[in-house]
Amino acid sequence: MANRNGRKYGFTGLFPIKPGGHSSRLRNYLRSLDRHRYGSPLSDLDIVHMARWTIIERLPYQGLPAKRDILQSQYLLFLCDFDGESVDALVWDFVRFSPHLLIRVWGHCVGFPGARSREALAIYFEQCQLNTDLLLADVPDATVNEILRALVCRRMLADLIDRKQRNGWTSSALQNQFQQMWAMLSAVGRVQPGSL
Amino acid sequence: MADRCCNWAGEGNAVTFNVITPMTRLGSWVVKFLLWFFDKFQSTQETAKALAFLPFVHWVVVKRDQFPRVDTRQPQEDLNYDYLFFLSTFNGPWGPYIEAFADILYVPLDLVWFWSIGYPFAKPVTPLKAYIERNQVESDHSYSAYPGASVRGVRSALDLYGAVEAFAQNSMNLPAAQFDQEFDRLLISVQNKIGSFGTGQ
Repeated sequence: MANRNGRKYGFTGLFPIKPGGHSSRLRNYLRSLDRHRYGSPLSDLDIVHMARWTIIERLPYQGLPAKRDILQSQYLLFLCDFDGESVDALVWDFVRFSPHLLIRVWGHCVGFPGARSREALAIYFEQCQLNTDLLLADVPDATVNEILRALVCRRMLADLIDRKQRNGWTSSALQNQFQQMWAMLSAVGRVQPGSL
Repeated sequence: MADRCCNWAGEGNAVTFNVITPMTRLGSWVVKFLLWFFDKFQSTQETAKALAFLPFVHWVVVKRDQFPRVDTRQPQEDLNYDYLFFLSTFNGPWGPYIEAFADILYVPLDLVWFWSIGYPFAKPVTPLKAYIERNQVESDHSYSAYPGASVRGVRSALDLYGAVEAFAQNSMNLPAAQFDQEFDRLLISVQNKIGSFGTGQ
């Protein structure tokens, strides 16, 4: 199904950018986000697997005899792969966890309705949405937290094996250590996205 | 680098890749059908999945009148072509990524990109790389929730978690000696899934 693969939704949106210097200011801001503690402030949204922003200033020209296309506006391309069935899930998380980021980015775009109204924002995102004709997702049914927990489990098991080999545990000691490891893993709720 | 997804230590495995190519109306019609076909018959995606370096890929056909216009004061676009947006995330360096695509997926590559203006075919790969560089747009910010993990790492971790969970349910409260034996069996069954972690994976 277009836009979807398993439990994942692949959003592709083109948002026209306001004229008069907004494009360069937006680019500077987006480039500064790389310094975030967890790689991006998008790490505040638990449902987002991967995302990117790309400013499109011009369309590629293939040389003669092809014609040159000149854009009248510049566009913010926003690509986001998240757990959910519709754009509503993404908009809801943005409004709840990162309204400031919404404003700092989409405040440079034409028609942005602000971050107060989920309904207005969902309409805006849908208005600028492009149909993802084909979405390839490698593990389409695993959520962000399921993947992060699995990665934590792998690290903990590797650490356990390493300590077992170095310390020469008895069977009882190994069993005790595994039980502690499993209890710790079971107690883990949310794993911070972007931390691994 | 803005096209690389990084964790708190500045390390990351995933690189974002954006290529935009022009098509005629006939070309975009054909490509839309091909993408619909690949989406409908998911077995066609198995070869790409077997390469194990593509966490996510979006193929998007944008017709010349589909560039969003959200305000009447925004000037209308007047374009000569439709466009194919190929937006992918991959693990590893750029060059081998393109070479692997050209080497193994050249049939679907040529089927879809044949309709893009100026496309040189997947083989030989040098003109293909030049074509991609000419049409590539760099991302301004990229994010991954698990930047240190590759596609294989994620798959292994999910399989491993399932095995460890089953082991915990079935064996955790066995007598110690028997637990030890079952633990060894677990390790043998998952030894190729533990691996290492981080950008070297």
